[in-house]
Order: sequence, then C-alpha cells, then structure tokens
Amino acid sequence: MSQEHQEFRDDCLAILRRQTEGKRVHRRRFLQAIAALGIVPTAVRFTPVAHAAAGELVIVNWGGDAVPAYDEIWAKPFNAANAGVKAMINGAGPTSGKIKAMVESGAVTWDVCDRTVPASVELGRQGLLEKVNWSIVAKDKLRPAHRSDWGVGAYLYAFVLTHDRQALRGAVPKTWADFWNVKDFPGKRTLRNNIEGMLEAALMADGVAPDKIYPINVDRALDKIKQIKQHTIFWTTGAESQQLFRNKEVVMGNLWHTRSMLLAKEVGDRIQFTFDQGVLFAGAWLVPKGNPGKDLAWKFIASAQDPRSQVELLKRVGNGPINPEAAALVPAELKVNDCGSPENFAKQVAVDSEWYAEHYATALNRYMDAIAS
Amino acid sequence: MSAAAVASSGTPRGERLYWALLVLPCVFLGLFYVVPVINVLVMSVTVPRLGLSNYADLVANPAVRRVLWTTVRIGVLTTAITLLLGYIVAYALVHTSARQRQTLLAIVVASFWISVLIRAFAWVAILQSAGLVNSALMGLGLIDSPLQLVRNEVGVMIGMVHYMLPYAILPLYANMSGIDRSLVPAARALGATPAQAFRWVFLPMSLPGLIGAGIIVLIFSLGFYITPAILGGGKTIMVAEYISVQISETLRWGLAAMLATTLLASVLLLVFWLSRFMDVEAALRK
Amino acid sequence: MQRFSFIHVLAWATACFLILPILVVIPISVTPERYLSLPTNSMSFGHYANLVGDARWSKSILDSLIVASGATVLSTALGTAFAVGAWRLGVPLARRLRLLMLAPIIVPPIVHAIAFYRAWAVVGLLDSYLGLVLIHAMKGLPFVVLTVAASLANLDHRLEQAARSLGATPGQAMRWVVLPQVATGVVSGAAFAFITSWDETIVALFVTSRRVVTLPRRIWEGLADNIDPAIAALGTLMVLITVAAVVINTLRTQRRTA
Repeated sequence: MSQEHQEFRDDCLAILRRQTEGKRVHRRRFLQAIAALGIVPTAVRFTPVAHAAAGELVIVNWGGDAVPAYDEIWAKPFNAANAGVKAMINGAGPTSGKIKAMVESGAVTWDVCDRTVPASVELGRQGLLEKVNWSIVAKDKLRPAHRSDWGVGAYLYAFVLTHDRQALRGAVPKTWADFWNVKDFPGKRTLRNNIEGMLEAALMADGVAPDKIYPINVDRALDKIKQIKQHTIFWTTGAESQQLFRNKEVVMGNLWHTRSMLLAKEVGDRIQFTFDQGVLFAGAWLVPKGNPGKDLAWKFIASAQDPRSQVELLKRVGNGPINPEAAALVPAELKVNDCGSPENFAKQVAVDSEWYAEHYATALNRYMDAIAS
Repeated sequence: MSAAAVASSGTPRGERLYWALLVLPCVFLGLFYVVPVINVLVMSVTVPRLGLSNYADLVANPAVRRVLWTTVRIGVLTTAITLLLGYIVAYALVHTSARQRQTLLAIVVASFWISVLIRAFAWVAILQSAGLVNSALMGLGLIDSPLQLVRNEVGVMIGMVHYMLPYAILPLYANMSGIDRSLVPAARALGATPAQAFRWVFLPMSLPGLIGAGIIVLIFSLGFYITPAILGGGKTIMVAEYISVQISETLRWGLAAMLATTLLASVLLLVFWLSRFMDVEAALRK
Repeated sequence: MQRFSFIHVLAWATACFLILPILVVIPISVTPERYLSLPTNSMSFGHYANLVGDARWSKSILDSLIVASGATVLSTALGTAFAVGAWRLGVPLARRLRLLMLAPIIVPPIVHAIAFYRAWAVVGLLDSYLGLVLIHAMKGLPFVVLTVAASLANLDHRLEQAARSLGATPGQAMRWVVLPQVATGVVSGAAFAFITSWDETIVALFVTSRRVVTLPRRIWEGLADNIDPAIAALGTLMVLITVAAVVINTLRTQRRTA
C-alpha cells in the first residue's frame, strides 16, 4: 500500500514537471498576477472616484429649500443652454473641513461650493481653492467688496435684529444697545453660536460706530456678550432660530434676515425685524483646487451672475441680489425685504473679509469658550 | 493551577480554530481601521509643525482644559446614572413574568429606533420653558416659574442618559440571564438575608456585565456630539463637538488630532485598568 | 418580596422615561406643518405619504437597510469570532487585543470621518456601499465583542473541553456548547451594530456623496433648513414594527406553551 502511494506521488510529480517545463512564461505571468493583486486597490479601484461622465457639474449648497431653488433657477437653465452638460445641486454642506479633506486627498468631487467671501479668502490663502478665472466670470458685475481672488459673490444676506412684538408688549428695540438692555426689554434673547454678525452687534451695542467696527476688538466684544449671556439662548441652525420664536422661548434675536422673513410670513406681524445696524454678508461661489469640472465651473458661476436669476432667488428664498444691476428689477413689494437694495444697503455694516480671513479661527474658539464658561 | 493546566492540554487542532477566530477580526481592523486612524492621529505631532506644540495646549490653553473638564464631568455623571437605572431595569427583566419582560424589552428596543436627532428635538419640546414638563408642574401648582431644564448641563444629561440606557440595559440583561437562577435561593436557604444574597451572590456575578456596560456607556458619553450640541444650547461644549469645530470650521487639524489622541489614550488607560480589575475579580471567584 | 416590587416600580418608571420621547414623536408625525411641531387643530398623514411617495425618502430607507444589514452581518461574525476566541484561549494577548477591538467606539466620529475620507480616497471606496458597510461594520464591532464577552463571562471554558473530550469536534463543540450560550449576546450585539449603522451620521456625511444617501444623511441635509417631520413618521413606523414583532413573538410563544 505504501508502495502504491509512492508510485502515485511520483506520477504526480512527473506530470507536474511535464506541465511546467517549457511553460515558465505561465508561471511568470502567474507571479505578475499575484503582484497585481497586491496593488488591486490602487490599480483597479473599487469605484471611480470622481465624476462618472464628463460634463457633470456638482454644485454644493447647504440643503433644504435651497436645493430645489438653485436647481430651478440656475442648474436647469444652465443645462438647457449647454448641450451635454449636467449640473446638479447637492445639499451636503460644503464645510471648510470637507473641502480641505477633499483637496488634500486628491479626490475632489465638488465643482462649485456655496460659501462666503471671507471664507474664500481664508481657504484660498491655504491653497485649497482655484483662483477665479476672471476671463469667464465678469468682474464688473460685482462691487469690489463682493469678490476676492478665490471667491465670486453669489448673493447677500444679513444678520438682523428681530423681535416678537407681542412678547415685548409694544416696546420696539431699534438698536443693538436696546438688545443688550434687559431692563427695558425683559425676556430671553437668542444669538448665534458663531461669531459672524454677533461680535459686530456686540460692539455696536457697546457704542462703537458702525464704520469703526473693523478691526474687531475681540476682548471688548466678548465682554459685552458675557453681559447678556445668562439671558441668551444660542442657536446653531437657522431652523433652530425659527423654532425659538415659534415656541415663544425668546423675545428678541440676531437672526439671518431670510429666517426673520419666513417667521414674519408664517406667524404674521407678531415678528418684526429691521435692517438698521444689520451686518451684511456676501455669499460666494468658490471652486476647490483640482476640481474635475475646470472651466465649466466658472461658466456656471458666470451664468449665476445674471441679475434676473438673482431676483428669482430673492423671490423664492429671500437672499438679496448681489449684482448691482438687479436693484432695478426687484418688484416694488419685495424692495423692503431686499437686503441689497440701496436703502437697506446703507443702513447696514458691510463685513470686512480681510479681518475674517485672518482672525476667524482664533475668534471663533474664543467665542465658544466665552459662552461656555 | 487548574485553568492553565487544562488550557494547555487542549489539542492543537482545537486551539488553531480559536486562534483563527481571534486573529481574523484583528487583521481586518488592523488593515481597514488602524492604518487610516493612526494616519490622522499622527497629525497631532506634525501639524502645523513637527513637535509637541499641540500638546502644550493641554496645559496652557484654558479653553481646552475647560472643554475636557466638562466632558469628564458630564461623562462620569451620565455613566453613573445610566448604570444605576440600567441595572434596575435589567434586574427587573430577569426577575419578572415573561409577559412583563416582553413589554419592558419592547420599550427598550423601541426607544432605540428613534433617531438621535429627533430624540434631541423631542427632548427640547418636552423640557423647554413652555414644554410638557414645565406646563404639567405649573398646572399642578408645584412651581411658579418654569424650571431651566434644557440648554444647560441638566438637559444634556437627560438626553444622554436616555440615549445610553438601552446600551446599558441590553448587555446587563444578557449577562444577568446567564447567571444561574438557583444561586440566590440557595444562598437564602443557607440563611442569607435578601440583601446579603444579592451582595454576595448576584452582584459579583453581574459585575462583568456591569463593567462591560460601564465601559460602553462611559466611552460613548465622552464622545457624544449631537445630543450636547442640541440640548446644550452652545453653553455646554464637550470634546467631540470641540474637535468637530476644529476640523470643520477653524481647520486646526493638529489641535483636533491632539484632542482625539488624548481622548483615545485616556480611555485606553481606563479600560486597561478596568480589565486588570476584572481579572482580579475573576481570580477571586474561582 | 417587598423589595422586589420596589425594584419593579423603579424599572417601570425608567421605562416611562424611555418612552416619553416616543409619546411626543407620534403626535409630531401627524403635524400638518412642514417643521417639527405638535399638531394643534388638524392632523395630517402627509409625512407618512412622503416616506413612500417621495423617491428620495424611499431610496434613503433602502440605502440605510442595505448598509446596516451588511454592516451587521460583518460585525456580528467578526465580533463573535473574536469574543469566543479570546474567551476560549484566555491568553493575556487576547485581553490586550480587546482594547484594539474597542477603539472604534472610543475615537470621536469626526476623526473617523477624516481618517476614512483620506484612506477611502486612496483605495477608491468613496461614495460606495462597500466603503460605508466596512466603516459601519468596524463601528459596530466593539458592541458585538462586548456583549458576547459579557454573555460568556459566566461560562466556564472547561465546558468546551469537556465536550471535546466526549468526542465532539471543535466545530461541534462550538455549535453545541458555545453558540447556544452566546445567543443572547450575539443578538443584542447585532442589534447594537444595526442601530449604530442606522443612526450613523457624521462619517456618512464625509464619505458618501451621491450614490449612497443613508437616512441620517438625508435628514441632515434638510436639518439647517427645516427638520422634516417625516423623520418623526419614520420613527413612529419603526416603533410600530418593533411592537408588532414583539406581539407576534408573544403570540407564538403562548401558542407553543398552550
């Protein structure tokens, strides 16, 4: 039996020898295949990283009603005008962190991001953005403050003093000094859990003239915030700021004007707001470095400079047109709520992008600490 | 001697199976988890420049210290409350009729299904000044002005305890149902009072489950993000939210990586210490 | 026995605390408004209709089910294997490796987000089901390890050897002795793993974009704008399914005992 076994093994070996002799190529090929297996992940990739098809353009905003609005106002007309192009709106929220992660890992899937002019300077200086191609985008359709080397102004929005007329029983707060006055205007207030528009309001309440706000004296602003901290609820999302007024948890707030408009529409004239001493920000388009869409992205941005489309956006979600030409196209009944109209423009403080680009990170950390301590 | 001697007498073939069981998940985690995460944690000493400058913040930056202290305080309190309530529920689960057990378990599992986001908002609706709790208390004439139950640490802890309870109850229940049901009556028969029987027999047997649940709850509590962000109203900042702001908003990834490394290191030390402690327990029982 | 009834009162009080938000979620789900609110005058089932009729919701429900099921299977298999191996071998190395298994619940989710974004970009797993399944499986793994280990804690590992010495193969010993003992632990571990994936928001926001849109991601995208009461409707449905499962189970056991 053991002999049989021996013979069988020899036979196998003989067969094996016959098969491999003169067929070394196969073996080498096999080794190559093994080596390839080792690098399968990078060589083959489980899925394509960037865009499946050329002509796709991903525009990322902050979700909600802005997704269908951007789609109908900008993406659809752009697709209709450019054959083979498929621009789509994605509401994932283009945070600085995600842009940085994308750019640094070389897997950029976004073409256009909906951020602000200050953010464009901040991120641009860190090498995370493409420089604006001003040969495609029109410089003269923007005021100088609404553009930067990396950002193209998209629309205007403001932080405004909003109050509940019923809860305050007729007392009308007109300035940030009134907002800070808890004796004559008792009740809870709400401020944002972020420095934008809040530090400016605090300084105005402390007597700083609107044209002397920048550079912001952060210590002074934080001291002022601390004064009303115990009377204040801090909001994070726009929805939350609205909910606070709906539930009558607060009597006053420093809100995005778009939210104040929605509230006024929803609950009637109980909720009022003023552009006086408002803090005016410019939303901006920016393009992450190494984006797959290239010039198509700038083309899209240029198409969004059309003043009529910007007026459409005002009608739908309340964002003010940034192109000065749009002012003439705004219907009379909307002029009051257009934060970019010449009258409202004059009442507000325009944000200094340079200051934000340099100090945003430090000031935000200090603000968070001040309200948490 | 016994345990070690018996273990070494196991056949190699049987051992091999268990070694494979042990090693396979580790290889999986090593490849897909450890490599990517280490890659990020290393940034704590390389970003923005090589060195320990990020770790200096632990000492020098009062804001960072405050965030860490808040996190530890809330984490420990939440764990203590959750374990106490969870232990009571798990104990009732194994010492009740099948019908009551099914209902209780259904409640525990059902509460699981509500997304953490909507739960947080439901708590706001319940706890806010015009919310259910305050209206009920004021309606009963127990209080004159609304209690501040939310947008502070109280609210954060209510939300966190609520979220963590099933995480404590289910492992405790799994552990307790493995305890021999005749042991406590046996101890009673030998003359122990109910309290003594519980302390000497049931509690030691349930200790591994308690420690296991405690580890899950504490670790989770230290890393909570959405609940404190919504129920804390900006005034209660825990480390995960702080890290998130550093990553998403201020782009201080070095600081974020340092805090994450610190969190990871302290929890590992804690678990290591607890697992030694558990060993002692196991040795005492044998 | 007096003591026990006091414990039961406390347990039921805790249970009431647990269902309180559910009791609020149910009325919220029939609000006629577009935002989270308690209905005042009228009721509407529009948010339930949205779950079915709105393609974005149904895709998200499906995506979440796919990812959570895949992740649960993977993490339950791996986690049970590890816990059983560690229990049976009882070597110090196993205890140290347990720390490694726990890492995914210790590291804050936002760090995972960055870590996996960078790693998945290299291997091309971004925005894929497989990529998210792998991540969620790793996040669920610690729960399975902990719950299975807890259910083994009171089992003497000499039992397995006894079975072997009576002639069982390693596989049989595992099936007959070990697995029945860990069943509760495996089931609760699997439940944790499923929920972990079902509710995971932060990493999903980073590593997916268009192909895979899980529920928390879908909820999150509308969050800044309006918290869609459809999530209350979904929560209510999930609760109803749980209750139905429990009722069916109870009826079945009753019939068996009758």
